Amino acid sequence: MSSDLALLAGAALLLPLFPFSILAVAVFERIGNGTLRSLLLLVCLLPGAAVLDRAGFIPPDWMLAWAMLTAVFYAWRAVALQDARLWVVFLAVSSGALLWAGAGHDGLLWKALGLGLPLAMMSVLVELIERRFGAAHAGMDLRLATAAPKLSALFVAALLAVIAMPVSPSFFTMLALVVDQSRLSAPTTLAILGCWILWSWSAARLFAGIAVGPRRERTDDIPAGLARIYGAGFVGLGATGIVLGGMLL
Amino acid sequence: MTLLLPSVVALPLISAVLTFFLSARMGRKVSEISVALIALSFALTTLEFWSAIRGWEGRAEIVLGGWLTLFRDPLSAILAWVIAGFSLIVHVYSRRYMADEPGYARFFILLNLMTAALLVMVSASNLILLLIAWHFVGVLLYLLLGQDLHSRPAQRHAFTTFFTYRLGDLPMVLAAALLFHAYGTWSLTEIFARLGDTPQTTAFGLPLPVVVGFLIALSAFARSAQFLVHTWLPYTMNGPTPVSALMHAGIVNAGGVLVNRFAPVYVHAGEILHLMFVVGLFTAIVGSVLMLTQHDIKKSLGYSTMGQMGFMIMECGVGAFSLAIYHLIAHGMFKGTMFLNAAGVIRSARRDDGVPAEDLYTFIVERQVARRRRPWLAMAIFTLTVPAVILFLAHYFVEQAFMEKQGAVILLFFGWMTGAQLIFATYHMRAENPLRLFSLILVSFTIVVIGYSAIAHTFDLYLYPDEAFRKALYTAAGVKLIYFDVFVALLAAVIVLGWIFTYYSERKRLPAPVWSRRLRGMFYATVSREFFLGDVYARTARAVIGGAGRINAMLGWR
Repeated sequence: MSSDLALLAGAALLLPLFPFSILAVAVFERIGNGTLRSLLLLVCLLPGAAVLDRAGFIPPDWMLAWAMLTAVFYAWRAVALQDARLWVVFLAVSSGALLWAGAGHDGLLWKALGLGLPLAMMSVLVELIERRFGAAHAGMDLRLATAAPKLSALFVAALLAVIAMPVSPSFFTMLALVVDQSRLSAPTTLAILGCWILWSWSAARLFAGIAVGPRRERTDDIPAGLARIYGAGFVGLGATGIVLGGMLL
Repeated sequence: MTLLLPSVVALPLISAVLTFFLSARMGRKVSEISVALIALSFALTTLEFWSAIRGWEGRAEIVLGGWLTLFRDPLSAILAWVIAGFSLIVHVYSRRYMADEPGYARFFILLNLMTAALLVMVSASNLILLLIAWHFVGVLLYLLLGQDLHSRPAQRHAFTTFFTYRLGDLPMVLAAALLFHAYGTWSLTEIFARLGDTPQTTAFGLPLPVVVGFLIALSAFARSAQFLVHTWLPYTMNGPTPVSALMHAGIVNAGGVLVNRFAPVYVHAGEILHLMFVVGLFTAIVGSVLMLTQHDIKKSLGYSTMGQMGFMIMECGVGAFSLAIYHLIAHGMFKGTMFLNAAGVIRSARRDDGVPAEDLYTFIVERQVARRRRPWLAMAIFTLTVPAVILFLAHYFVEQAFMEKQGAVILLFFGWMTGAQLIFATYHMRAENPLRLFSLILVSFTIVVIGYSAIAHTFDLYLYPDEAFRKALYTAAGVKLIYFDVFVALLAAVIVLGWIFTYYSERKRLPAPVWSRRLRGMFYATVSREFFLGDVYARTARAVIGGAGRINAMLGWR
């Protein structure tokens, strides 16, 4: 019994539920290195899912409701964010909480990977922007589309992957979560769909704030070679999504 | 022949990839590749459509592996042909139109991807593939509308479209999940077969076809700009003109296509068809009213599309599914031409409006009405009877049993009102030879009605060759005969009395009472503010963002 509780507490920390999420956000936000942040995001989501999966734990209704409220709460709060780094962290918390809806169903680890991978890639890209412009903030009038077109294109691709557009792994994961819950619990299903729409809303606001605006001088775009590597990474992400979709659905 | 349709879809994708890799080397000339490959795609769809016309036995499936399965059926054949055709026109037009715009290559890549997504959307026979295409169309439209990355208004309106589309995407995701849960497959062919065998399956305590039909209808409403989720449509004009043309000619019609694709579900979901009828009718009326009160010609065109989309959904609501397809194709051709011609027409109209100073000019432009009038009562009777007789005879000769279909009778009323309006307008026109004018108008009306009835009937036979299925759709859309008869009698009485009163008050020049003028003023104010819906949505969005911001600040952004 006590080991079950310990596992559960561990899962609630790694797939953070409110108010543990406050701690998670504080830790993630302080990590300046994007690659390290990406790794930690995956490190949190994957072991969290593994713990839930291992315990074969099916969360009781109150706990599922708590997780869904956390997910929607952070998705809603992300709508008002202007800082891309914080946005990634909020979406990671929202995604982690959503994974509780997959507890007790097949492929929870794959689902964690599906939601985590795009976030990890986004985190690396945010660091690239921060290095070149000082911050990835919508209030800074970056106008990335003309200032750094290649970086801007990658930024759009990452945003789309994070908000679960096809054929990103997160798309198939969200679809699998809806499938898991659609006949079990209407409120949980609505929460998953609600998160999906709020993520899209916040991403579009972030895109408009960071990438769009009147023409400006081209400044410090990433080299073509690096852009190709990241481009290939996104193609790989899409391929992973298709493979993952085949496993989950 | 089975590889024809996959090739049609693959060609725009290949074009997008080639444009991406060759644009730096070829510059603006890269668009020639797009045009050539889309032309080839159009040629292949023509072949496919031709073989469909010559006779396919029902529906076949092309399995390419996994979820990659496509329908080879009359619906996909005709829609793929139309999409490839429109896309080719838009590609050719864009080559010069977009020549001076930044992001030339990006535009063609997006256009190619959009063509591919639309082609997949109309032919997907697997729910996952359909969902992928459906989502892609939304996000590609967002990127196309926001092609001008320097324009904040364009981005804002592109976002409104994207958000509405996302709202519409999610009911479809849920519908797909429910269908998968119930039948354990993503294949639409299998789902439709099993749904026919066990329509009594439930979800959320309701019959599954009703729940799924409702969710699919919601998706269709968002994509086809039905009332309450229509506000994105009139504001999308900040995008490039070719995108407006493609959107109004094709993308916005996706709702009607989706409903047709899920026709086997709606056979068991009559309630949802009734909902579609009400929503479509209301949208058609509101869209037309808003169109008439706009001062901005582009917004007016946007609302005109909204009205047409309402009519299309309403046609589905009365069971006339194939008519909705005919309608969306006809409207697409008409509206696409208008958008692509708009710039040229405005430019030439600045020099000369090109309208001959004849009867039509004096009536429409100078608003001069005829001085000599015919007897009002005779004209009222003439206005009411002649279109009704023409409509009845045209339909009777095409299909004798049309009166058995409630939906067909309802649609006749619209034809009747249109015909009456035409004669009423003619009655006001000044003409040297009124008899000739009336004869010409009536002959034109008759030709249009016969053509419309014959083509609609042909579409019915082409898209739904199974007579029992056609009948089942109309039956599902029907209501109890007694209610229907009372409704038709009431509607007929309102129309007849309305027209008689119109002629009478026109002739006697009856002044409008004060309350009526006040009411009209209030109505006009409300309509000119577009029912305040935009304000309500903007305020709601600000409240949501503001609330989130306050909570974020309170929790120290953690």
